[in-house]
Amino acid sequence: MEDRDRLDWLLFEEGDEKAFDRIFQRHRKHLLKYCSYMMGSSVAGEDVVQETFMRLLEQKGSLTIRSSLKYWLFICARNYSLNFLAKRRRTVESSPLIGGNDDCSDEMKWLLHEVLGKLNYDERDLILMREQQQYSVADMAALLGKSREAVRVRLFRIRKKMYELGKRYR
Amino acid sequence: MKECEHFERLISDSMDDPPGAESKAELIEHLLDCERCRQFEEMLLAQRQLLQNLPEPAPAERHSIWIGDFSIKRKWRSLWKRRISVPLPVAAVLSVVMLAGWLFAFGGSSVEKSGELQRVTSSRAVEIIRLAPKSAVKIDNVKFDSLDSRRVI
Repeated sequence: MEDRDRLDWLLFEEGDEKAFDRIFQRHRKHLLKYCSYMMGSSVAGEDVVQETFMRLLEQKGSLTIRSSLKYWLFICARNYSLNFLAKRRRTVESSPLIGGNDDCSDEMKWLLHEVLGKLNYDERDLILMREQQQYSVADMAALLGKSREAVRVRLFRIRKKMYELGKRYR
Repeated sequence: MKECEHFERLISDSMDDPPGAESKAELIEHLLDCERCRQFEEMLLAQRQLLQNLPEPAPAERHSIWIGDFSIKRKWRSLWKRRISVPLPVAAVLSVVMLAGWLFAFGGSSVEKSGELQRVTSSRAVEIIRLAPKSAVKIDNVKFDSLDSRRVI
């Protein structure tokens, strides 16, 4: 995927508009999932994803992809989400269920939305980054500028909180 | 209980990085005896499975997952707060003040002018009254105010 990203970015810089479209289609879904669950709304998530790709468009001619475009997009989307949520300064309270996942029971789906909805946004960010985006602790530590041990401790506290919240609904 | 806290931490850490052989054996041994820690591990694994398979967010149709449609309402609300709720009443008050000032400055002189006109008219009316035979003047058509300025209506 990274090689295709690099190639498409080079083609885009040479004027191939369809190459940007390919990048967009490749990463949109993945980012939208994180942003929507992070923001608590698919509309807000969509807004953040669009902002992120607008930012990428502005980088034409100045961005050199050495490591991973996916990582760059994720960091950008994450920063937009956190800035938006920090401005909003509001915790999520209620959580109606959205369906679609057949692997888990309805009770567990409801439970998770209820639990995820009760976390504050930096907790939600970390747990989504680890479990949904599946970043390793080492990557997260590098991204957050913290030690691995500090990230593990944070994750443990969040999991513990989720466990305690989950127990109430059992 | 304190022992359980240690193992809870170990369970959580083992989900991120595989534990060492010694820690793993210690954890397995503890889990065999401890119902509470087994529940903790089950719950964490279930949460992980669910988070990894979160349903696709609904398409952008102003549908909310759990907060509500804040992106639009909040935006408009903040726009109302910042850009309309204060400047609009201030602009309304200013325009009323300006209108009153304009009326005071220019409206007064026009009244005065019309007053002069009225005075001329009234002096002519007085002249008419004076010249005309008394029987021909209809007093109903002439009004007198307290300042003795007579106005014809």
